[in-house]
Amino acid sequence: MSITSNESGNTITIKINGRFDFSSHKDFREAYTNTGGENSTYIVDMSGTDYIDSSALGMLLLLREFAGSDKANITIQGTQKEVRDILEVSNFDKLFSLS
Amino acid sequence: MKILVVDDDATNRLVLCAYLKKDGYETVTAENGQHAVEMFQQERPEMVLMDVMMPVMDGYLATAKIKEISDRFIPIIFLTAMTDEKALSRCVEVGGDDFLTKPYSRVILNAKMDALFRVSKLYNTIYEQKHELENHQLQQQKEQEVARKVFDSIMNPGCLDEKIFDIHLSPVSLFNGDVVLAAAKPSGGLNILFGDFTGHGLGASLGALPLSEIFYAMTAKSYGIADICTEINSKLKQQLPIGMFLAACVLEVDSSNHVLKVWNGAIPGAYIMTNQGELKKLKSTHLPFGILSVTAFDNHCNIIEITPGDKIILSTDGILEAENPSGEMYGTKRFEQHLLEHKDAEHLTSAMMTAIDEFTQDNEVDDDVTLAIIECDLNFIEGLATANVDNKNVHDSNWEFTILLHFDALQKIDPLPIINQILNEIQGKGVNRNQISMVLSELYCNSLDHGLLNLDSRIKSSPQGFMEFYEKKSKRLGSLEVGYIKITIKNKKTESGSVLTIILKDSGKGFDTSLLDAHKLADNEGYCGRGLPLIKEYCESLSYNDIGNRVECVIRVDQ
Repeated sequence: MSITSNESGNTITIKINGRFDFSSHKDFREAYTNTGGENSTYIVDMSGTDYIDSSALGMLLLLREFAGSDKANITIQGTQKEVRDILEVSNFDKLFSLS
Repeated sequence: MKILVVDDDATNRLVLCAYLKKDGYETVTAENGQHAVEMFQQERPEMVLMDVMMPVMDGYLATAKIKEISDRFIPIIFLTAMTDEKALSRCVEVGGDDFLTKPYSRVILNAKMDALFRVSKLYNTIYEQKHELENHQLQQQKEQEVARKVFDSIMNPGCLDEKIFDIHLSPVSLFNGDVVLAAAKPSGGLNILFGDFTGHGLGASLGALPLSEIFYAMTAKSYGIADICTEINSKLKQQLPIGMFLAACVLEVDSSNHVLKVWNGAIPGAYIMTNQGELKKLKSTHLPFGILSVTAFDNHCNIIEITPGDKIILSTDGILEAENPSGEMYGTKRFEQHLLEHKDAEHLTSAMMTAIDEFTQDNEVDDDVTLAIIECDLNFIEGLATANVDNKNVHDSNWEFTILLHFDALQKIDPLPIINQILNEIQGKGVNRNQISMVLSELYCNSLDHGLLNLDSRIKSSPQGFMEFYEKKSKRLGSLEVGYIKITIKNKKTESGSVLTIILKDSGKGFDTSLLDAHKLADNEGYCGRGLPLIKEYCESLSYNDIGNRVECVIRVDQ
């Protein structure tokens, strides 16, 4: 598992490689802690993510809260089929834009 | 620091003690092994310097005894005139930590003492930490056991022990993040909740406490699952930290109408297996509980027709994500395939768990695993409501109440649980409570569906009809702009019990009541739907006014 984050203008891209689960908690939080929150756009790049569990879903919710809850501007992109299935079964497409 | 010097030669003791005192040590002495053991117990020194050959008890035996009674690590260094290899190695065999042959160099002795003090310091720190950890663990275990008892008694007032349930639970820790709740509604039917909290263990199971309280309390008041779901979401949203939520599938078996209502929020493995052996997926259409605000939450339930003998199959993602040693997941496809292969097995759950174990090959699981299979034995489920009746609590007296609901109130609330609760409070869970609830519920549905909403029960007779009926119902109810239903219930005490009268009046245009007489009880079609034959069985009289928008039903309640 590795998490990298990139800030370009007002957009923060967080890329998650490998398994996204409870062990990623600290790294994932650090990836957005010092960013703009409600004023920023977030892209979670999951093209390299091959597994997510429910605590990862929880972490996405924490990011959403940080980015302004209902006003949050977060796109999850590049999901592989297995990951996308989990996001869709959980109906997370209602909270995040999946592209 | 205190050193015990053991030597039968007084001069040796004196010289050694003088050296040690000079270096800042406190000394105590013993002149033989026996004496050394006594002094050790009495003085609790931090190191022992031991001679070997002594009268009464030699150094070997004394060392063995001291090591046996000591609860900490106390280094023992042998100081001996012997040079024989066997004798020296015996020093270590009996428990000594080092040895030095006389005459010894003071520098070497000091170095050895320093080294051993370092070891003993390390040893004692670890020993203390271990002790602390053990105490802590013991206390935690005790606390967890108490919590577990409380937890179990809160989670189990339902009817999961009944024969229609076949459930396998294997939590990763003492506490389970997976939850299965089920209880019969007093007005008939069965509510089921199958859930999986984020994570597992104690943290995950804490949320189960408010959950089960809401579920059982509301089911006991005959609330349907839509209302229960709204309440659960609002409570969990309020109480759980962000990032923690409950994926759940909530189901209501309506045994009299052969309908299953389903609210599925993120449970991937939910199915109906029909009595023909066909597998129908119960799709997840909602977000899990505890995420959306009260206003954004959607309690819409899907409605599915069921036939006696159908099975409800529910599994948590712990099953679908169980891995075999090469890291491959069990997955939906295998799960469905195995379900179909084992559909005729007597114990489907154990057959499935065996299949899953064969796949994972005892690979360690890291999530709670739960599989629940519920047989839709509709007659049995119908009987569960009556089985719950408590006969002891009948307080008959004279009373009457009326509740009038205008169209806007009807859109927002279901009056039946409220009325049932009032009946429970004033009448107790009397002999005919379930029959009264059932009659009331049928009459109310007639007034609402046919009186106010003008729906035709015949829609329900086609295979897709139930869904169409319910869709039409919710659409028409939502767009209602006039109308009311008035419900009056009165009870009159008699010598042998009481007479209960239920009167429902609606603002609808009524129906041709002459059809009532022509209507055959056995025939389930027709204007008044399935309810009336059932009602007639339970009540003494049932009468409509001429235009058919007021019904009066009399039930005799015997003590």
